Amino acid sequence: MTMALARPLTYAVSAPIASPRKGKGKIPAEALRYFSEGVALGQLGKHQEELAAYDEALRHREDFPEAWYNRGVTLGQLAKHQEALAAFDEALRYREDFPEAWYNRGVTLGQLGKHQEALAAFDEALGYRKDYPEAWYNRGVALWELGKHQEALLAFDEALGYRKDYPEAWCNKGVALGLMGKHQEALAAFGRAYEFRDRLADGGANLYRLWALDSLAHALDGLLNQNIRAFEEGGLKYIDIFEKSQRDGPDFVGVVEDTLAQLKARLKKRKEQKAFEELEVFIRLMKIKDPFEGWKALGKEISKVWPKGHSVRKAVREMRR
Amino acid sequence: MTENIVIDTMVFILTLVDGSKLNDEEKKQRPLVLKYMDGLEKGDYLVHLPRISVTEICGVARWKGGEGPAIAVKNRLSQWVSMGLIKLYDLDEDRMWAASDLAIKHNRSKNSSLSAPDAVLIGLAEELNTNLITFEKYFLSVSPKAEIPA
Repeated sequence: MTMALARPLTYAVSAPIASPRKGKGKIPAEALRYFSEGVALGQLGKHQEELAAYDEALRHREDFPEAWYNRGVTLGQLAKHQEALAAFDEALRYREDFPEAWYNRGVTLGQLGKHQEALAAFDEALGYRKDYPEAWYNRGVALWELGKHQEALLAFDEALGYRKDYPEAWCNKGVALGLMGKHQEALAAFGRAYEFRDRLADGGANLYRLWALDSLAHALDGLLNQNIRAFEEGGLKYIDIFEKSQRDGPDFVGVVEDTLAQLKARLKKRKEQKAFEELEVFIRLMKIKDPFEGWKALGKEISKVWPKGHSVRKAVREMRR
Repeated sequence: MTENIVIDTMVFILTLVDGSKLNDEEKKQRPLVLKYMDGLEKGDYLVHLPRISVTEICGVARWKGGEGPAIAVKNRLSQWVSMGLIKLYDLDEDRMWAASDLAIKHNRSKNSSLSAPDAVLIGLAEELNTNLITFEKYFLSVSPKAEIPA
């Protein structure tokens, strides 16, 4: 059995461009002024005024692809995906060799659920710029959405080949590997994502959830396949993740703890539920750090199920037969 | 000062089973063995074990307690080994011959032989010249090192 528990992180838009490309016809000073003003307003979070500034820039110079592009990025940030798409299309009408515009066109199409078209846009972006980790990453997301998990994994690897400090790509690599039942490699990938968790938009909450779920899946797969080492590895990794979350803050602790209930809710077969109970007991027992307190807790747990009046001596002798 | 001892598997298991679940004889024995656990924690005892004892303890824990607790038992024992509280011994050739000699010399009873784990355990206590803590009365007739807590 392979536990497929998680969806990857989703498409990620890129930031606006700060200055237009040089050498492709002189941009009028007025248009440039409004363009720069738009960028500055965007940095202040004043997106409506930012949009108005780009519109002014475009009124002075319509074939100004960077202004169309920034307009698209801003519209995307405001969740106006159709309008954003139209803006990226305008940018590409005036400048076809514009990988960032292709990239954001892909992101926008992905956000609209058009994953096949998104994939084509990412391929265009990568045609103009191969060393574009974000495009590789989002290509991986599109492939994932199209159910091509193996190819998605390769795309995440490509992204990581160009940028090691890319937590989203590590995270999605972990999800893909976990889905393939390669939990050891998946847990290692999540571990790499954890190194760069400060860069994640949610501070790492989703990473914690995915990582903890995969550790539990690894343990459960282990017990169901009579692979005790895998059970131990997964269970102890879950405790390690739990302890990390304790150091990172109570919100993360809650995320990690909730994964137990999330996993439990997915288990329908009695065999899986029984294995989960064993896993819960193991985690509870091994969370106790003091070895002697831990032994006492073990005693309480074993005593619960030890048949009343059954001789310890007899049990050991039967074991020695 | 730390006392070196060898402990029978049964002693470990007795510390894991609540008195209310034991038969009358073992109910009386349990408080006697808990002092070894306390002593292990305080550093009063250094426990020497043949590796097969760990397997036995895990096996009984699995049989009567389930997989989760048994794997936790294994991890705790591993932790104690790492902490230097338990020292484990291989069944090398010398120990194999010594245990074989014990198995040849002694029966457990008229109807049964000394088991291989028993012989290995007793052989280790004799090799290390340490007391072997057990509740198996027949051990007393096999080795002067066997000691029943009282």
